[in-house]
Amino acid sequence: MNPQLIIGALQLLASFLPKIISGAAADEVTSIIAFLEQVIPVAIQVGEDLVQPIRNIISALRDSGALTSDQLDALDKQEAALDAAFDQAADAADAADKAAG
Amino acid sequence: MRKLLLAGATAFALTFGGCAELQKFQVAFETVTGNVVTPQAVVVAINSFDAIEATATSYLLLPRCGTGPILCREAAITAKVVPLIRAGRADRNQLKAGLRANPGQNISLVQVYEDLGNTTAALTASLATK
Repeated sequence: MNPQLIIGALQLLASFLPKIISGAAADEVTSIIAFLEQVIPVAIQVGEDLVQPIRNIISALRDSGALTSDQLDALDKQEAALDAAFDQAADAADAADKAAG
Repeated sequence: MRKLLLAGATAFALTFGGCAELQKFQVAFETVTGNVVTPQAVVVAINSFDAIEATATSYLLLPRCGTGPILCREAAITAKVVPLIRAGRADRNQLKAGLRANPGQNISLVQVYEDLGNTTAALTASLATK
């Protein structure tokens, strides 16, 4: 997980502190734990998905940014997977929103 | 949670914070010389968009708000994000075609480059705003 994600997670945790310090009821603690458990896989996924674009940016900054044909092919593949995952998520979200009216 | 997603979306920029890389990043992202844009700036813009698309995908995978889980996706934000991503993709693909057609050269797609930057900024704002 990158540093900024860790900071984001810590900010999130800090927002719960007042409740915890003031003696949150047992059911509140349970809901806080449930929330944090939901955050973990999402945070990991976001972190993993950002790795390749970040590497590509670092690469571009270190050299002229001129990509070879092979590098452009690799970028095409990476983006095809990215676009497919987005379209699938967008279709599912659209169906859920339509079903909810 | 929005804060966490935004943190992820902007991590690639902030990771460079406080070092010389930040300046390079800004120069690469912002420099448009006359009627052309450098391949370096284009590659940074493309990958910045890809990073926000990945973050948007994670957001869309959350359950719809109002269905129970606290960690959720709002329909109104979804409605903004989806068309922005699709518009950004068209610009991104046009810029990549420009890179292919002009290997190692500056390209003249300044307006497309600026549109992609604006789309990335709008997406970041949408995912960050409640």
